Amino acid sequence: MSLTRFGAGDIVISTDSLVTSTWTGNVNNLQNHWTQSIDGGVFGSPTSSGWFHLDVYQTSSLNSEAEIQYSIGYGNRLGSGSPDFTNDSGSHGMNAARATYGAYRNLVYGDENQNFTFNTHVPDDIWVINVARSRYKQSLKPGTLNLVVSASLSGSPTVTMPIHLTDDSVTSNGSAKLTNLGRQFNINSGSSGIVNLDTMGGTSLQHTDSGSYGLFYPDAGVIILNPDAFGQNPPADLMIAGKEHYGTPAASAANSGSFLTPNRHRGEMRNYNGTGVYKTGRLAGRQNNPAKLYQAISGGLKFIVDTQEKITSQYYFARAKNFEYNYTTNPSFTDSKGNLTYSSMINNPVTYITTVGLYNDSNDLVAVAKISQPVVKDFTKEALIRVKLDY
Amino acid sequence: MGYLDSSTITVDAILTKRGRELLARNDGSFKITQFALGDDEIDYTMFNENHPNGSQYAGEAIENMSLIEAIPDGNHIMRHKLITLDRGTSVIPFIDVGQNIIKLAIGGTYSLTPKTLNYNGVTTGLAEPNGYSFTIADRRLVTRFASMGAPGKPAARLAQPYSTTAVGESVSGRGVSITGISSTSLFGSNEKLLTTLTIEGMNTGARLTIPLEVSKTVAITTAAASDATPSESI
Repeated sequence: MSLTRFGAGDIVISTDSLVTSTWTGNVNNLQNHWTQSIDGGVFGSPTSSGWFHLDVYQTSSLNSEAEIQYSIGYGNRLGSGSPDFTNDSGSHGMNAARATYGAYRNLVYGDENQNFTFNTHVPDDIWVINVARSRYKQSLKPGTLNLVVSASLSGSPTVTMPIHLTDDSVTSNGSAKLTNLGRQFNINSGSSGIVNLDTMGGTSLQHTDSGSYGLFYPDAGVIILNPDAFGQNPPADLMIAGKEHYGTPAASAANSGSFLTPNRHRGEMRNYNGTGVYKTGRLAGRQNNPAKLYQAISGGLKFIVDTQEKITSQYYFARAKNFEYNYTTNPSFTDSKGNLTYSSMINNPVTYITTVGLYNDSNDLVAVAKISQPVVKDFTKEALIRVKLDY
Repeated sequence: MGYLDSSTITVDAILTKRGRELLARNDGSFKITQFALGDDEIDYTMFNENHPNGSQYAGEAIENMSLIEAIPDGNHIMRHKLITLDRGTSVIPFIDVGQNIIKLAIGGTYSLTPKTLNYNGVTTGLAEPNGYSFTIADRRLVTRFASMGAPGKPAARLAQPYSTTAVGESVSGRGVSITGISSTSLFGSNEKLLTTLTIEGMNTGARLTIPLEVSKTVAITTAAASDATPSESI
């Protein structure tokens, strides 16, 4: 006999929650943010992928180890903020920003008439941070979000203004609004799920005059930010008065202090910076929106969020009793006629367990487990091996 | 006073290729109901009855060896199983099919009924009551691969999925009937194609692997039983 049936109680199912860091290499705090922006290809035309989502890597995208960590998008319900697909009358406002806003609105509300609302404030646009599915696995863990955004520009330290953002799951005792995209938490100033009581610039203790900083959808790995909550110091508009939608940026150099204020131009490509590289000075006003948020996140030097995964394991207890499994079909155990190699083993055979095979009723080997070192088995020993199979 | 060792060995299992296939079918065929123990990489010639430090050290070389990780191909792991026999047993059962190779012509059929020598102490061999498992490594080479039945055992297993690559198939029974392919399309410029047939006793765990050759033109010629030298015998 070589197969033993599992008895009652030999098979146990257990479901456990596994929490890990989200980023590649189990890095807790993602501080290195890289984009694929060398030649501006992702922003080459109004339909280029960069206008929809700017992928962010943990290392240079040219590195073979580079993996997408998250993507940044910008959505505008009126169709501002990215170049029109076709820049002509009858097609103005049809662009990536509008498509992005509509897509996330459908995912969250399933209603084209419902707009993103932060507390009571309804902005025209949204920032989107979409964590890669392979990184967040089953869901992000509420209460672990620590995201710092900053408008810090290279060479312009005076405009640095880091804002520490977190979800309000701890403060709200885990109470969430349920949406089509799963649980929804507010994003406020604070850390590790605990909201600060002195949120910057707000009339409320938990949000700004323009509503909360954002919404957190842990089950979908999505963070929606409210641009108006950040736009506390909007720069002088660079567009010529009266031509806001289709105009040409004016020649002004007074825009270096833009603090996550979206570029809400419309129309032609020339209203937008054509690469993912962040621009300073006058060109900042023509910066494409995904790169604006990218710059703010990478400058913040803190993006921490954990993933949560439920793993169902099945445990099989393989029991070898003292009188079982003391002989083997291993050819080195016998000679060519089947005689035991060692005479001492006729009455005291010794075998060594190295492998446990799991079979179905049809005797198919469906799973196998290896032991790190051989386990001695003879007529005076019993072995109990717990085999864990994860699903 | 010390502490008793109450530890339980815990190991992580991986699914075999067959396991993944059955899991994908989602028809209940994956359900695990049995286990077996194996010792594939153990070389019992390392067992040193005459160890200078005494018999307690006879297994020193084996017990301290490092083991390799699990291989997901079920044809290459659990090849040597531990078995349960009465104490005092001096011979281990092994399978005999009377020949060392199976040769088939195109469209030719061959039937095989193995027996297990030393089973229940019968040196001339007996058929195992629970029959045998027959596995062909490349199912493409035969048009028919069917068991000849055994008491209480299914005559054939689940149908194989469509595949353009070599995929094994197993059947259970007292014997097996094999019919070679009738087309020459797989041969190319080759005159013959080779695969293996693995036979495993369901009672003893004894295992034998012999080559199976399908020839483009040659009629069936099987080696005489007296020439039998199994490529692997136990």
